[in-house]
Amino acid sequence: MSVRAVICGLGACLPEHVVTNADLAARLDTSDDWIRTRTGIRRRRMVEPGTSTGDLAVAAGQAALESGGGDADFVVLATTTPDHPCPATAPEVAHRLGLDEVPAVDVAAVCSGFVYALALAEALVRAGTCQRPLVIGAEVYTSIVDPQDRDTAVIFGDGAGAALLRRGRGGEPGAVRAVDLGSAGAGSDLVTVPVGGSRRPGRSEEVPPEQRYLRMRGREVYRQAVHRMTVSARTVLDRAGWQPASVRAFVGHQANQRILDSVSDRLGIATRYRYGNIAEVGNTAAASIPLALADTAADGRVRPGAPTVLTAFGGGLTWGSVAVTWPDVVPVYLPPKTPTSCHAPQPADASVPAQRAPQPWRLPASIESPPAP
Amino acid sequence: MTTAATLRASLEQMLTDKFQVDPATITDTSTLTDLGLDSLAVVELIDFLDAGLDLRLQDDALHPAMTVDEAVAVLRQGSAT
Repeated sequence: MSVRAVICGLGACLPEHVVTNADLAARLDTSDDWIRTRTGIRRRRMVEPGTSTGDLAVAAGQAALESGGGDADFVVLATTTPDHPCPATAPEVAHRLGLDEVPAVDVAAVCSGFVYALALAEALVRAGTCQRPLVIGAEVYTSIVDPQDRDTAVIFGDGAGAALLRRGRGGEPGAVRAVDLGSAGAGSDLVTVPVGGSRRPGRSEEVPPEQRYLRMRGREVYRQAVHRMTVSARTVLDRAGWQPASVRAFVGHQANQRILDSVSDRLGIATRYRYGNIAEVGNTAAASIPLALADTAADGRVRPGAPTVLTAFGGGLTWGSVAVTWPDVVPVYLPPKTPTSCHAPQPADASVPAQRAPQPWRLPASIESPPAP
Repeated sequence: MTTAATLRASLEQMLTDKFQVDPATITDTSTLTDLGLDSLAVVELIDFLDAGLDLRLQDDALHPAMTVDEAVAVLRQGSAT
């Protein structure tokens, strides 16, 4: 088989502070019931003041390196919320990870960022540019969400997830088998932060504060998201030579449970093969897919090698899908997950080795027997 | 132009097939909200109608507060273009 990039490590970092629907309902004209029925979200995480996207990215990156057992020779950071307008965040993240002088670059594709970054890293591996790229999706969306906008404040959360890739073969668990990417810039105003870029730097005090926040035209985004992710996932399945009925893990961008249900219904993917964590972490944009991968892998609900589809849609408009076989990895969480609290209070970038729990699929078949792909 | 009766039948079938609406509850004056559709479900309905009837409806062509009669009128306009 030809050279492929193989996912060999997964890492995750979530801030400690939990914001529940009740917390939001206390200050916005909304309710827990409204948020849950429209989005599927129950709670989300939020950084403390002073914690940046780079901080979360370092922790998730470190976790993925520990999970994958080794260093990286390229860093791709997908984010909508870089630490600074200039420079990119990835070089400093690489430096803080002890990866000085490795190439490091940010990818800006909003909620499709991780899929774009994964596709680029996979191509870099196949081209021979690098052997072990580290792909991180990290966001502090609360830095661009208007806390008074009930349409967006209830959806987004902060967090970071990462995947370490290595050069491998197509038959291995975790191998990327096919990719589909796309964009439609005519819809660039559907998801936008109007002010703060070169078109409208916004130095004038006359700029209303809300112009500096994320604005999203929900109805159009919903419709586009369902359509684009469905078509893209079908395309990538076709390229991989997989039938939708053969998919054993569907992990979509955790934008909205209703969107995810609609996409997987249209694809014909059975409910039991749909995985995600939107109820617990909300929409973490570029971080959502690696966070969902880490949580699903931690639960051990998918057998390594199982046909898997990742699909995402985001501002730009951008979309993309990756066909991959489920990786044979034990994810690492920094700070580590504990049985009593979802995430123990630790500095976001603390280098605390996490425990590696055995996964159910490693147990004898009589105890756990997931369906064969 | 597709007749109002045909469009009404298509809408009713969409509501029962895709949104599990009880056909007995669908009257000319019942709103989409009455039938259990929220704003996101209405967006989904627009998408299904576009695909099923080969229309090009705007994202805001239908609203939860619209009655079945009003929705059929929108579909008639859409099918005339």
